[in-house]
Order: sequence, then structure tokens, then C-alpha cells
Amino acid sequence: MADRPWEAGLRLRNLQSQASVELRRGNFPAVRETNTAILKGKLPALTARQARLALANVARMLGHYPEANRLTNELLADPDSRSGGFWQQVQTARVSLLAAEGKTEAAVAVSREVAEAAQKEGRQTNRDDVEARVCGILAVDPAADARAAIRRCEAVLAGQTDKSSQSAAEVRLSLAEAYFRARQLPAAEASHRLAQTSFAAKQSINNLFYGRLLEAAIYEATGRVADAGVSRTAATTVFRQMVAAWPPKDQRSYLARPAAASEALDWAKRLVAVRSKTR
Amino acid sequence: MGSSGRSDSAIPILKQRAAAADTTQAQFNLAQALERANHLEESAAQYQQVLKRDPAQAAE
Repeated sequence: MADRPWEAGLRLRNLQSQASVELRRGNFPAVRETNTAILKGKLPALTARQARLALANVARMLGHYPEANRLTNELLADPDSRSGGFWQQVQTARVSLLAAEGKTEAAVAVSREVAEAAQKEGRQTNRDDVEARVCGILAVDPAADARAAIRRCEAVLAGQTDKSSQSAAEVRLSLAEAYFRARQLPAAEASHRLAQTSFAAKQSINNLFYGRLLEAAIYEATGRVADAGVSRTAATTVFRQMVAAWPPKDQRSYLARPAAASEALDWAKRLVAVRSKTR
Repeated sequence: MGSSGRSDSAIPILKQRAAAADTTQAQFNLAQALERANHLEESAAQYQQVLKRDPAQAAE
């Protein structure tokens, strides 16, 4: 059967779906490429803003902070961004970026405002997402008290509406990091295991990578040297799978992100970085 | 890993349709079913295939 003429709508839906798959696969450079292609089309305004937001988030995840700041500021300055749900997504991106740049206090302050606004407007999913960000910020911040981070993250997890969501799994991973920092190792292992099961089911490869690094650190701290070695190998395998199609520049900036330099994971991150350069 | 049985069961049918009909829409439907079933590698490859059919994309 002959193909029908290409339809712009189908092309756009294809690009959006493709970006969503590449995001789950952790192929951030491909997400950037796909959203750049989306922006080249004649688009409804909301779609263009969503593509910009995706680009801002991906630039942050890759450690390209000037680009992430430029895109986020463009969205913040755009009056049309101010519709409830989308505005909260932009603010959540801003929170994540502030945290990634090490501006923890500002990130927590903005996130409080966003969570309160989301609560008032009945946007529970937005509230859960931003609360999960705060938990992640405090869990890895060396300046934040680990026990305070645990209390905050436990409260955040208890308040999450959907305990099987991606954001609940991210809170569990953050909790595991906070438990690890407080040397509550059995709790760290249990929380990590629940998070990892969820990330495996969702094939959230970026989180699987960090989960494996944390797992190696937990095993090493509990004297299970052989298990730690297995986890490090698994982390390296996941990392190589994730970055296989990435340009070297993106690999370097991803590993150099200050946000990735949590106390628990730093040593393992360096190990993986060294191995990836020598492959 | 993490596949839904319901999504999985549709995949062989959609593969047959995509092969028989050979249309952009059929390939797109297959890509979406693969995504829902967590077959992300195959899904990404299908989305790429759909884009390759687009003359505008090919010209870029």
C-alpha cells in the first residue's frame, strides 16, 4: 500500500514520543536533538514552550548550566508561561537548576513557594514532584544535616499520593543517600532496593546508574567487598549503555556536574569516569 | 522487564500491520506499543524509522 502524504501532526507526535523514550533511556543528547527538531516546526505555542522546557531540563542534566539558565529565564519572562500547571513545571525546572548550581537555599525557598501554590490549586502531582526535588537537594547537600534530610524525605514520601510513581522512587533513592550519610546502613539498603526495583521496571537508566553507585558505596561500607565490586561493574555497564551514543563533550560535562558530586557517590563516579575514558 | 502483558500482546499484531500496510501511521502505532511495553530500544528504532520516511526530515 502506498504511503499517505506525511502529516505535520503525526511528525510532531512522533518527535514528542521519541523524546519521551530517549529521556527514559537516558539519551539526553538525543532528547536535545529531538526537541530542537520540534522547535523547527510550525507549532502551537504550548508545544513550543514545552519543547523549550524539555531543552532546559536536558541542558541541566548534561551540566550545560548557561544554556539551561538562558532557556529557563526565557520561559520565566514569557507571560504566556503563566498558566497554572505549566508555570509550576517551569518553576520546578528552576528549582532543579538552582540546586544543580549549588544554590541550595534559594532552591529550597523557591520550592516551598511552588509546593504551596500547587497545593492551593489542587495540583497534587506538581506538589509531589517539587517536594521530591527538595528531598533530593537536601539528601546530597554536604552542608545539610543528614538526619534533617531523612526527616524531610520521610515526610515527603509519606505525603506522596502515588507510591509507585517515578517521583516516589526518586524520593526513596534520596532517602537511601541520606540514610547512607547518617550511616544508617540497613535503612539505606532497604530504601535503595525499593527505588532500584521501581527504576528497573520503568527503565529509568539515569537513576539506575546512580542507584548502582550508591549500592556499591553501601556494600563497601558494610564490608561486603565482593558485592561492592559487582555493583561497581554493573554501574559501569549501565553508564556505558547510557552514554554509548553521546558526544564525548556531553559525557564529560555530565560527569563534571556539581550536583552529581554527592559525598557518597563521588569516589565511584570518578572510578566510572576513568574507566569510560579508557575503554 | 517491567512489561505489561496487555501491551506485549498487541505487538505481534501491530508488527504484522506495519509490515503489511507499510504506512507511517502503522509504524508510529507500533513504536508507541513498544514504548508502552517498555521495549525502549526497539521503540526508539521505530520512531527513527518513522522520521526517515519524512521527506522534510531527510532533507535536514
